[in-house]
Amino acid sequence: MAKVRIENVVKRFDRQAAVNNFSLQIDDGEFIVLVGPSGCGKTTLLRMVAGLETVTEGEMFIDGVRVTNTPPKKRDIAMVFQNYALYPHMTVYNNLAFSLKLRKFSKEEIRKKVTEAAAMLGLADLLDRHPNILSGGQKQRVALGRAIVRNPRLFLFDEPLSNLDAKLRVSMRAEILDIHRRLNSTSIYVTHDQMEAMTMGTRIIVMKDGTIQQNGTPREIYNHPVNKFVGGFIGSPAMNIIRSRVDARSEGTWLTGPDFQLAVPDARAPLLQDHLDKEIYLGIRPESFCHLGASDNGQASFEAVVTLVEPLGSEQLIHFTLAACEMVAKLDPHIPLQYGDRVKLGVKMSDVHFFDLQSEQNLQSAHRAA
Amino acid sequence: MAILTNNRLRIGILSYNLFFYFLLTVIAFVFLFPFLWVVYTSLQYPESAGQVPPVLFFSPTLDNFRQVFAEGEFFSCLWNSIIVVVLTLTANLLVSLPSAYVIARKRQRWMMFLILFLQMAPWITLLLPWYIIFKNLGLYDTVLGLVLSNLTFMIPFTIWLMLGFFEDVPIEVEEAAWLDGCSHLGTFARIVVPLVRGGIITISTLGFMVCWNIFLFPLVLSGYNTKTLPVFVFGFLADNQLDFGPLSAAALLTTLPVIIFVLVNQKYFKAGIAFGGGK
Repeated sequence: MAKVRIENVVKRFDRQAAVNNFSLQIDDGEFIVLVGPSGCGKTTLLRMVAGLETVTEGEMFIDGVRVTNTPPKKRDIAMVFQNYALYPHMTVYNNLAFSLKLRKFSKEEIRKKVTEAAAMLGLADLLDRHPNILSGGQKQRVALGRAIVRNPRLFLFDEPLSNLDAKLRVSMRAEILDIHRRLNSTSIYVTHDQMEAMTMGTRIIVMKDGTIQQNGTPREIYNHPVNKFVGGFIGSPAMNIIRSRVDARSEGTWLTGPDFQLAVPDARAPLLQDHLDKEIYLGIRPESFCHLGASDNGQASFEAVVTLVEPLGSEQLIHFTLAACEMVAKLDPHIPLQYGDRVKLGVKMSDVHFFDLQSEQNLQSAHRAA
Repeated sequence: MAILTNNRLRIGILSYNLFFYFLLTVIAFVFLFPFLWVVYTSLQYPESAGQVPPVLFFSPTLDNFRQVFAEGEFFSCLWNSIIVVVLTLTANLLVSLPSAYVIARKRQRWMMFLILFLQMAPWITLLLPWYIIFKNLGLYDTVLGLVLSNLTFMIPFTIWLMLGFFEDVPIEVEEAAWLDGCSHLGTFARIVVPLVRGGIITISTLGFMVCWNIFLFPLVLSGYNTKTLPVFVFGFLADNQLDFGPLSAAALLTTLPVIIFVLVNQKYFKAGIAFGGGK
């Protein structure tokens, strides 16, 4: 277990900042997920923690000890790489044993530790094989085994599941979490897959352009995104975001667009007080839509034409256009809809998000802060 | 109709294959002919050696080989050749492998062009300066002198060939080794070098061939103590009379170690040439 402290870290490549003034504290035993689009700096940050990249500015500490300029071999960190990085000329056994041999463990101790790690990961029958004849899942388990065999104080994962098929990814996710719980290790996990981030992390750090956008639990990130980027990035299908105008009317506050009018509940109207007669971004998650019958006249409803139906079994995704934006609604699979149908949809206005047009900040977060 | 088409197709393929193998046989014969001639001549009696047209059916003799061994110098020249080649290959790998690795990892390919550019001068232009320098430094007629002269072309060629092999070793494998606790030197020796062994065998095989057969440098820079086999073979041309028989026998004995070495390593040699040469 280890505590990690990253203070105001900057990493520049040719004057371009890949990581910009990044600060983070990680406690013992936490499973931190760094998530963000390609090029956001998450892998660069992970590599700086590992010592594989130099730090331009700032400091890093592990268990209170400054490690900013410490070489990788002295940091007691294990890393699982995206493309496994196994030693091709060594058997699985020797891949697992290599780090122990470097530390001058006895043959008996090495055998014991390797056997234990192999048993934990289902590799017992593969110890005599070379990596080139293993499947992707087996290679990733060997990479995991290589990391856990020497019981490091910190685990780093650099998109370890991105080369695996969907089914294997799900099972490997569970294995990684199981190992984390068993070893009670501190882990930093990098992924661009927001679903992986949501299912695995005790805490998620959403990154963009080298900076932290939001730091919180999966529920916090999902239910209370601090800005439009986080709202749109986390969630699958992605949050629908459209521009709308805040209209103050005698009967209350409304959000209007070219082909919709949505009444804002009284409880949420104060959030929009500073934005009357101005435009904002309205964020609606696909599950916040509901299908209305022809006779239903909800105040937060509109009509649209279905452009695509994606039946997923337990639900269906309905694509439609609103205010010239492509949008997706998640509806009950038993509603018979098809391409070209005119559909009436209601919006659960208690669940929508309002983002400032210029700063793109969530007005709810700003209101709380105020 | 279908049967007729199939038959025509079979005849076409057969004709193509026959022509292809005939062409290969002709090309192979052209390349093998000098060697076959040497073998043939080495087994001839003096009066029939070098005879044109050649006699196809004859009683072979080992007298030429006995004459070569009787010269007395053969085994010392053989030993000199072995020592020079082994030391050249060893020193070459010790210098070239780390150099190629650094150039590959630091992505300084411009250095490779510089190194190769310096090789563009014909080798013969180096002989006179070397002779003077080696004489003054006491390197004339020494194994060290011959090794150094071989290294001037072996090192750039090795770096050039090995560059592609090192570039193909994923950096993540090295990073994994560093995180496992391996030093940079340890990673190079225990992880990277084993992964490029195909290239090492290739360059060693090529180097063996070139250094074993090299004639011009030892002719000028070696003396009585360091005469190598090619210079020894040349000795059979120096007399007034041309002894084709012993000359061929000496040439054959000189060539045999190279043939054996290449045959033993040909699997790696073919892969290495196809792989490294394309980079």
